[in-house]
Amino acid sequence: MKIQVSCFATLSKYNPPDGYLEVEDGATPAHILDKLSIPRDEVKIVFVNGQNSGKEVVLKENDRVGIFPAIGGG
Amino acid sequence: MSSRKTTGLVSSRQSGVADSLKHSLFISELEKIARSHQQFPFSCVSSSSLLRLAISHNITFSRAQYLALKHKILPERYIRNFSSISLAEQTRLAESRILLVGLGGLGGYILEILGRSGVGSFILADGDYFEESNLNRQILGTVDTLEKSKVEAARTRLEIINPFCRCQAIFSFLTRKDLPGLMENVDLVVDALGGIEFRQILLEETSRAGLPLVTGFVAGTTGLASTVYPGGKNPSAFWQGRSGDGAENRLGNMATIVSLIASVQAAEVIKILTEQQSGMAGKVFLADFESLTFDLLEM
Repeated sequence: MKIQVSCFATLSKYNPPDGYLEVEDGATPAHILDKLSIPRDEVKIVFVNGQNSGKEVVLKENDRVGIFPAIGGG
Repeated sequence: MSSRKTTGLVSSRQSGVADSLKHSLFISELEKIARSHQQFPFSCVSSSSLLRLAISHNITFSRAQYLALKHKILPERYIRNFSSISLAEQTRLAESRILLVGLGGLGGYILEILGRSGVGSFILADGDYFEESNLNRQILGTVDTLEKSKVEAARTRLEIINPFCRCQAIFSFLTRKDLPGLMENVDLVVDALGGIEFRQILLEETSRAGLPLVTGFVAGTTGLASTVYPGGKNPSAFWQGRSGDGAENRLGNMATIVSLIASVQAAEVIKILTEQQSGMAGKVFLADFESLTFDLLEM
């Protein structure tokens, strides 16, 4: 199934080329981090469809996943 | 002992009567110089006339503004706030007191917007000096203020953009023990800090004081803002780690995103102070200029 993935700030270099990633049924945000080789310790918060859902929620076709590092500049 | 107390009471009553007389004379003259407008449900007075009248009646500028607004006389400097901000809301803003922590990128723009909009009273805190690397985005940083105190530059700026504002400038990096005393005297706290280290402490102490916190944080071309009410959801997950761990240390901060997030924070402060519905409580506003993403996320 296709998942829309957006990585922000220092993680933007891990964005899939067209913004979508093909994953197997039952995949979670944690699987996406592994598939894109994003170091776990650099990820501080993950949103699924705009909700703070954690890394272990089971994804559905066309879900939107947003992945963020620590951010604190002003 | 009791006679001294009585004397104190009489003296305080006399001073109250004198103030009341002074204010009614001031209002009576103010009403003479105020101009009515057919299209507005209030009269107007120019800021310069109001300042002159305040000086001649020995009334502080902030008090003069408050008395004018209470008598349905709007200083003309706020005319273009209307009707987004009603006269009653403008009066609430004039009575409001905020603590703004950080006068760098976010804080400079926030002060500019809130001072012009008519927030009445500011406690400003920052222990930092301007350096050259601030000049790409920090509106208070100029060739004239390099190596000078950020909070002093902020106070000077506020004096020239809106002399009706009251301002207490604290030239130091606040610690946890500084916060309860400062928070007793404000209605709201704005987090415009740089770096992640002190944000959690400011969040905890603001919540303990029972106040709303409007926070903003940026890195590169990505920025976020949120409002936290006591006991409510908060964005502290973004602030995990040490100060050096924030993405801003590798990506810098662009003026584009800094000014946008500051505007979002300022808009939220105005909403809360005028008792409108907060748009970001328990949520995080996200803007990213690289991908042109704008979203409101649920914490």
